[in-house]
Amino acid sequence: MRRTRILVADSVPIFRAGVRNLLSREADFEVVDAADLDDVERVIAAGEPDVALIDLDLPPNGGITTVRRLAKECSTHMIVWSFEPERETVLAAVRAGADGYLHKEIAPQGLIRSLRGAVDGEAPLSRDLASMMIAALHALEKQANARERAAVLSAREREVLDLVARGARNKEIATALFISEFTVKRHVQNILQKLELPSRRAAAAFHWAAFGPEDAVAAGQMA
Amino acid sequence: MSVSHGRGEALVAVVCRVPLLCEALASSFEGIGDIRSFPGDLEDTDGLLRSLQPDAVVVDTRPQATAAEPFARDTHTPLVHVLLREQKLRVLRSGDWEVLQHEDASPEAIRNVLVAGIFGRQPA
Repeated sequence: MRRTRILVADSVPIFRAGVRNLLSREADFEVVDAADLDDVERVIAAGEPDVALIDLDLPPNGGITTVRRLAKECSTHMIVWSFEPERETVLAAVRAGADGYLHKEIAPQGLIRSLRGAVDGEAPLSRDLASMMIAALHALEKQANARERAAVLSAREREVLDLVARGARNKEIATALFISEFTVKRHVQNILQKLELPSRRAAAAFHWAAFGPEDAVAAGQMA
Repeated sequence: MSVSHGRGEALVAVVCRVPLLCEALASSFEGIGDIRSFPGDLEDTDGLLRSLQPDAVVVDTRPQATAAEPFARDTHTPLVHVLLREQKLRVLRSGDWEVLQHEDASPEAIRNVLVAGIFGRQPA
């Protein structure tokens, strides 16, 4: 019988030892392990594993970078795992090429089931993580819609909206953009009208939904 | 082998949120002791430990470390808190918690700390 080759890529010895010990009792598994990306590449060079269980914090650049890299090089089913995964992390792992995501608190039998499932082409994802992923996809869709709506704004209106979202008053916006306070007021009115929003506060919330904090930082640097 | 209760092997109670910790310890304790695992959300840990009378206790969360402390203090039982994220070990020594700076959180390091504590070469 050909055994399923499992790679445990984790810098924490307890997890490598734990999975190794657990799977040693299962006749259909063979385990290899790696403590960092270099180790992973050495293992893969010696023979592609069927499934790789990759720690989110795998040195040196993390599990998602590792998944992205391996997705180009091999056909191994990749599962990322971590403590207390966050919505964005799970989504980022899947978008990078992971076939599933697991909690490190997983019960031994659950892990065995997940690994066998991965070999059969299933996507190991606990119920709470599946809900998280769906929520993340909805958030992305909401963001895409908001960005589409924001396309009606002129470049100057976008700049004004960025500053409004950061809580700047009209006078501060006028100073930052070298325009009059009256012009700022007119831009704000236009923004609210175009986006059909009732207030500056609603405009700020819209900005966060559409562009998130990264754009606001850029706006801050601009100011 | 049990030093305090006349059992054949040392008994180690592992109260863990991460079940794989028990799996890892089971292999490193082979031939030395018997690992008995309990879920990390266990209630009345103190009562359980007083009933079980293990030779050592391992936990992987702060609440369980706190819950196991009275038993460990009263019975001078080695208590090890595995800090999985920091990959460090915290041990209760002479009534005070101490983070072992020179030990990682490998199964072998945990085993060594426990064995030293159980057999009294180093007070844990």
